[in-house]
Amino acid sequence: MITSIISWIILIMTYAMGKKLFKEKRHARIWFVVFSIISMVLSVLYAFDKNLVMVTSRIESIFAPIARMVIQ
Amino acid sequence: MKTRISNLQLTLLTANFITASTLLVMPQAYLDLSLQNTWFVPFLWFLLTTLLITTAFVGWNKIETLDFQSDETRSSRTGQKLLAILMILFLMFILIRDLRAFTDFTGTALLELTPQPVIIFTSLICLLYLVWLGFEVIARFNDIYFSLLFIIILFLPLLLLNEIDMAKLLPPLQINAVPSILQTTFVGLAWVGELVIIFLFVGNVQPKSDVRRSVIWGVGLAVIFIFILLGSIISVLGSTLARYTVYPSYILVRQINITDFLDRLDLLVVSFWIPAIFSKMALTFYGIHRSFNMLFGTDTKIFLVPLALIIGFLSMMMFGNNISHFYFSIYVWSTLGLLLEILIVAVFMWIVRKERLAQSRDG
Repeated sequence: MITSIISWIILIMTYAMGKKLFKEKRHARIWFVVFSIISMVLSVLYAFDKNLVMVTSRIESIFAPIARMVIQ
Repeated sequence: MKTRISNLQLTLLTANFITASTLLVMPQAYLDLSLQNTWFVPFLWFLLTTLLITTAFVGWNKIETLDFQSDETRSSRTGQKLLAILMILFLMFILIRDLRAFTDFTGTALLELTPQPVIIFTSLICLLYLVWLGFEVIARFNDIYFSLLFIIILFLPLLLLNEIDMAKLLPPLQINAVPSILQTTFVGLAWVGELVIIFLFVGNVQPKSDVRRSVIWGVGLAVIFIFILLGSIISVLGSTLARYTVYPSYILVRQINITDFLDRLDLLVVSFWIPAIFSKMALTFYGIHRSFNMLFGTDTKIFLVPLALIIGFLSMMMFGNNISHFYFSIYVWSTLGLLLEILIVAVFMWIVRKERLAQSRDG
């Protein structure tokens, strides 16, 4: 429920910023749209109880062994 | 108008950036490794960080200016864009990690019934407001809260005088404790080295020639801060108890009781500590915002809202629970953070060198 509300807030904010947005340079507008889409995708994933623990685990599998080697 | 901060503000920003969230998450890990000798580790961090800063600023005084916000900088755009990419990666990890640490702390110690997304998104609204107002406002906000927090921490041993037991510091610095002290130094070095964020703002400091000294002073303040806090934790709680405590710094300030009626001074300390954490997170967020502007060659604030939402969702989705966040903070960040910091220092030195060559060529 909360995430749905948040998703809607994103949409409203995107719309509200529209007026300012059209005064920006073209590539700034493109990146704004890209970031908005990413945040919306994340909000939908969160709404369906998906997480990114797999990504964190992958990062851990690369870097944690070095630290563990030093500490042990 | 170009933003300007003083050398004192740079010193306070550096000190706050090192201490604010480090003391929330890390004391337990440090105490678990070095036990009663942990108080000595900040001095080793100071030596290593001073070395890092001195190396990074080689040739700094020979260049006229280095402002990543303006077109006056003559060094290669490739170097600036590379620095921006590294900074985005580095600062995104810091902000996601700190926001989650703050949420976990608030959810565990202060607002137990408040749902995690509510804490995260209300915090992000405060951060957005600070970042929207700009770098000078963040610096002034930091001046007020870090100074007050530092004064309170200086008086902490006095406030805890009736609880301190010096016997808990024994035996100090035995020869067989050296490996564990070095291990703790390694684990905490990436956290102290986070001060490399200041490379993004060195162009805004006036006068430019004292930047290196100001940063070293900032590290010095942070080291005194951490030393007092770790020393107090060991002498009040004892390393054996503190190593199994999730938030030993918070438990420590709860031990303050002057007579029978002044026993909730922890609320006063926390009310300065939380804004100090917000100051760090705001500076991190501002750093991400400026790095994106450097990368895209723009000067706009329109990325802030979607970026805040991305950071909020990532801080909830990247860590399964508090333990995985804690594991990330110790095992992953000590290596990943250090690697990114070394790369950032190398790129910054390259930019300074290029700038120096370009300026001497131009006459």
